[in-house]
Amino acid sequence: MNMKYLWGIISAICFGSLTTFAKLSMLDSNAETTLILRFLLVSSIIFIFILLFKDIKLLNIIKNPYKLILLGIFFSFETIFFWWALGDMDIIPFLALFWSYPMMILLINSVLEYKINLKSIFLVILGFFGVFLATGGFESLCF
Amino acid sequence: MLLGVVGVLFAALFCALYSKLNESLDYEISVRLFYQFMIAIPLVYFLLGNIQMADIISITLIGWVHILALVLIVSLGGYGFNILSIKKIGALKTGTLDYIEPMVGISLAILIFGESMSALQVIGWAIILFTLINIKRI
Repeated sequence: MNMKYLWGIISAICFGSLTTFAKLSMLDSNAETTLILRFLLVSSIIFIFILLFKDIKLLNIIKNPYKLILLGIFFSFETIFFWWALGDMDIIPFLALFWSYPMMILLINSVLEYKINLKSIFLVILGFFGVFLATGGFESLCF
Repeated sequence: MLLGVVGVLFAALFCALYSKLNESLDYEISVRLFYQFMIAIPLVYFLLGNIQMADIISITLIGWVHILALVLIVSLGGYGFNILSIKKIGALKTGTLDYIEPMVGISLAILIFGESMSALQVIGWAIILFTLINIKRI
């Protein structure tokens, strides 16, 4: 596998530990408190990092703030719907459905860029089916 | 349950939109992460709520270690490398690589919580591996 895929693999491994650490941290506090504390700490660490090792002027986005604000809004709503839905359904079908998002990227690509690649469609749907089985989604629906 | 399904599909949709938008941004990773989390703090606070000072005070030392692990591994590592990956290979391939996540989650559940895997889950792992081996074709 090519080295350019390494960052994605490391990112997936980091995200993969989310459920375990979230479960452990929720032994001490509720989900909302953990979430807000996490975001506050991350923002502070990044701010200190930029202050010490980069240029504080980087944070001046006044010329073109819209895309960054939209990015923050997308991330916020992803988080809000994620936690809201998590409280309303079992973890296994929840996770199995959440991993449909690469299929949604495929859909957005086809709508915005008129890109339709049959191999991509096949592999992304096959991968989703694999995730559905691996997370126990099939068993939770049938038994 | 139906509301939960709608909710999780919206979460997946916003996750896809977030990944696609990241493809077209020129800002440094640290700047993107800073604003992403800064914008999320008030929105999450007002829409999810339920945060009391007493909850924060009652967190034990080991609880703070877990939160710090979430901050460093998931928030900084996960999102930082995710944006780097989107810049290199695009949102779709990065999203497909994320299929590794359940494999990691299940491995940790087996190692830490002593859970076991069924035959169907093993087949699921094999299918994910097949997809990842063929990721160049996406």
